[in-house]
Amino acid sequence: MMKPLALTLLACGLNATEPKAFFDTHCIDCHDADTHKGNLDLAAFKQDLGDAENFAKWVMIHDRIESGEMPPKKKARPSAAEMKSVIAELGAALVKAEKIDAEGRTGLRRLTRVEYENTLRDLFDLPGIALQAGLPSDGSAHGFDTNSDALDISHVNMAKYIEAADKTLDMAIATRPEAPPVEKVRLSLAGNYEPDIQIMSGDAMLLRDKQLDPDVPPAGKYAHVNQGAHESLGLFEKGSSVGVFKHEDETWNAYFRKFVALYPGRYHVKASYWGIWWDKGKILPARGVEAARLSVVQFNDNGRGGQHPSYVVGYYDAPSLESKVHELDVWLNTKEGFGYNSASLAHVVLYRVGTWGQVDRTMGFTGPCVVSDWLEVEGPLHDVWPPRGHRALFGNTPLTEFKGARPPVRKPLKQEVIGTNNRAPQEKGLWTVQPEQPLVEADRLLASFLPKAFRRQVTEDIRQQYVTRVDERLKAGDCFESAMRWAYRAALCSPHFLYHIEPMGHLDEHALAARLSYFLWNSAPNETLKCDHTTVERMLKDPKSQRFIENFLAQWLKLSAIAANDPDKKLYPEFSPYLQDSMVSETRAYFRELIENDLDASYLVQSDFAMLNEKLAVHYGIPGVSGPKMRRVKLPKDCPRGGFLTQASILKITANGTTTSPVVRGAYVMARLLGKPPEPPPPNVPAVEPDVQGATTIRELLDKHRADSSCASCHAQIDPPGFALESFDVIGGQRERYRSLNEKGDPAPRGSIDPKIGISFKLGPQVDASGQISDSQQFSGIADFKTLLAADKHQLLKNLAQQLLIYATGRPVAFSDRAALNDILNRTEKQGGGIRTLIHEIVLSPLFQTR
Amino acid sequence: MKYAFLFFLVTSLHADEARHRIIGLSEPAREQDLRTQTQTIPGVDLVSLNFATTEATFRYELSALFPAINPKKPPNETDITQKLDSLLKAASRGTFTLKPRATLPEDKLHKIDIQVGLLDCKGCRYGAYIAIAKLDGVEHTTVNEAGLLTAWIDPAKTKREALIEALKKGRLELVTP
Repeated sequence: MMKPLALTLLACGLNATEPKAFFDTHCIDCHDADTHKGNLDLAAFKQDLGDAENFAKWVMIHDRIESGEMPPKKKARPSAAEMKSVIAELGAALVKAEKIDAEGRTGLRRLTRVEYENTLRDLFDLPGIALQAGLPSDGSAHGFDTNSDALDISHVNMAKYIEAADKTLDMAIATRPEAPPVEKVRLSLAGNYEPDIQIMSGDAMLLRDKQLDPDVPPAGKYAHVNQGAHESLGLFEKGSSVGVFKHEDETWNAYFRKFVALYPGRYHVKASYWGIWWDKGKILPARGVEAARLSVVQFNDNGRGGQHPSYVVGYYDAPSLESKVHELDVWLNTKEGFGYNSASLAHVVLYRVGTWGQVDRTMGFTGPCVVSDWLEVEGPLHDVWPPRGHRALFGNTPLTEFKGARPPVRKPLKQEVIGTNNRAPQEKGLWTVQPEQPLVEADRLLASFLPKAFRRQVTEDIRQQYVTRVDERLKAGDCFESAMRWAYRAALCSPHFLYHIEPMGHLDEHALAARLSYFLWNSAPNETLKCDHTTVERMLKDPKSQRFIENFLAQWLKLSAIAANDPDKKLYPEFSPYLQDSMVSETRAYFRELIENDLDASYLVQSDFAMLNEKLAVHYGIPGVSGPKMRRVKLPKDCPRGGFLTQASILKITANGTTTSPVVRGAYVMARLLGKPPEPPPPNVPAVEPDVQGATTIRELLDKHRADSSCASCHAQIDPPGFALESFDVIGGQRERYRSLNEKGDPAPRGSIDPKIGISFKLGPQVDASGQISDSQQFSGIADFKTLLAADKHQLLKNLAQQLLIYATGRPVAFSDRAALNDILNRTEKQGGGIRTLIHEIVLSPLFQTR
Repeated sequence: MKYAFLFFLVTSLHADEARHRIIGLSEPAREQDLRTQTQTIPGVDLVSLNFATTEATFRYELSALFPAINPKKPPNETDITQKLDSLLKAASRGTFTLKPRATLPEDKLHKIDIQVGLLDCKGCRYGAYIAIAKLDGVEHTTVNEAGLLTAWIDPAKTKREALIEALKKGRLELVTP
């Protein structure tokens, strides 16, 4: 029974004559109440376009007709004129309906955790202050955390903001008239509890002048005994180099405990590393350039035990037999020190040379070794005093000794970590800012501070509110610093600071500068930035643009989920933290390369180069790459790598650590790279569970699943990208056969897996990476598939533009934004379609410059 | 009582000199360690050292040992021994300590040889040495790189089995003949 469609269309605000004819002729047969193919009953639409769900369905109908997907090819085709007419009619109605809510489509939104931290880091010149971890997690809407729908606020947020503001002010406010003394120390890995244990057992050894330390030869048939005796004789404190045969693991981390920062600040660091091949007592040339990892460790409590939180500073060359000194500047917070790892060694228990039955311990062992000569730390380094953070709060007013009754609160400086050599000096006196005219000074300081914190001009009324608060505190007996601190804390917890305040319509210069700055620097502007090409170029070249790359990729490609699961140790024993960090570095470096060279959107999926270090190159089977540094590598002919799709990071993120699913990977490719997110699965349809024993392939399971007609149409679109990616395992290794724990499988060849790693997995069924996107678009494997995708550069560019716009503006791209989006794309494509050009065009577009 | 007993063992050669036995001389190379570390103690000199008997003679300036002497109660020999011991321990991170001189003649001591695993590391040799050097009845001990540990004991106070037990407790691997 056909329902009166014309009435429905009229209710939708459409000029019903032409669409009615079109729908009656071409659609209603399959999408009426009786048939409702694809679960779509066109006659059942009763609501108007003001209903979000209904609106979304009409957008889908519009898009299906526009793309030519509907009416189906096997049915009678409408004429081009008919198509054009109905698309225009429907599109106009949708735009009209959406305009109703079009004023200020970007909702009022607060800073994300990352934005909050970066804003305070820049405002107070505290580039390493760690605040994110103390704040509640942000949600995500439309794929990004910058959307107001994802940024709710609660009393928990407020409590944490107060804590974070206090922490920031504690760190920013100078408490002494002169800068803390600069200390320069050279640290050996030896003489620290954890490495010393390894020296005793034979998993590490001491070296001097590139030879064995004669006082403490490597452990042989007998392990070293009595660690305390060695320490008492000072044998670990002679500045010897330490050769480490062992990768860190859950039970062991190597820390340089003799120096743990008392003062937060910049520290200049030098580290010297080299590598060897050890053969039962002989020091031989290394197998190549080994990699040493330097990390910053935040020691908990008094620092005892291992597994303290840390972040990786970098991976550094350890060349064969020749020490290489690396220099860098690092920010250290209080109670932070350094950690070391022999990153290029296999992440396996077998390296426990002396502990797990290795005959003759070190002297019976043959294998690689990474040597840490020393780590030199100099700091804290201040080019001005009081530091800039203090000056942002108190200007250039000098600190004087406080003699009053209610001093500012000071946390006593104390070295809390046990085993360190650097101790807190005896502080003389209590120093603070004490102007002669406190209120005048408060007004002056707040007039300077508030516009920077609030990212716009601040009216006198608002400033006066803060001055009044200072006055109240002064009258209550607080000293100037305490009173000002009270006002500053209030400012840092106020909506003016916490929210992006944007006017309706076209953004004013301050809001525009803030939007641009948060887009490309993930932080507040340090000046009024102009939305022009010169500014965008300058911002992209600034090191702070790395924040954009990291934060955007973390969300667009879900790079933040890289560690969401640990690959099964039996199936993927070659996986290591170094490999995982290299994966992330590759994706970031690749996106940077696309921007810097303004490469077009086809490079998102296909490229003749990759950004690799040795670890990844070996993983990918690409020869000729040495050391941990990322560099551009031309790919061999017929190499399946190149582009995001085949990067190990993407392949790991889209797997569960044990198996791969074409559905998950296919949905990811559709949503993230093609901008065509699949419909959510219908309710009550069980998920396809992979056979972990490897007896049945996922393709066979999906074939059964697709036999259900209600699943078939969606899976015809979702599965093909996933099938193409079946050539890659859960850690991004290329495969022709699935790995299996089934004992009946065939023995697996070692391939590029480190010889020290035991292999217990078997080879299961063959991988079939073929598929078809449409009747005319078939592929035999990943290379064909990438070529098909790369051919549609426009769609790839369009999706990237949409993702960037959502990220930058904090709102989804609406139907009525499509004209402006197309304008961005047209302008970009006319200039060659480069990704840097796209960023420029986005910034200059009305979509970016309007709330 | 402990230091009253010590008082009788300490032989005063001169008002500013004292002779003691030293624990920590595990091997000849440790003689130099003792000399070096004694030099870091203000007002104390190592006058002589006999590795075979482990006896050392120290010269000291009383005012350096006790900067604030109460004339009514000047430090006695026990105080001086205690102070020297404390300073030596601090200078050597506890690897050298004073011990009362032997009361039993050398020819009455029993020599015990125990072969432990190879001790090519100075720290391990010291570790093996210290495992038994402080045992009651062990008068003198040495150890060499080949892992031969030699102890001279007072048979009335200890025996070979006690030494072996102490070594095993110290996680030293003994070589079975």
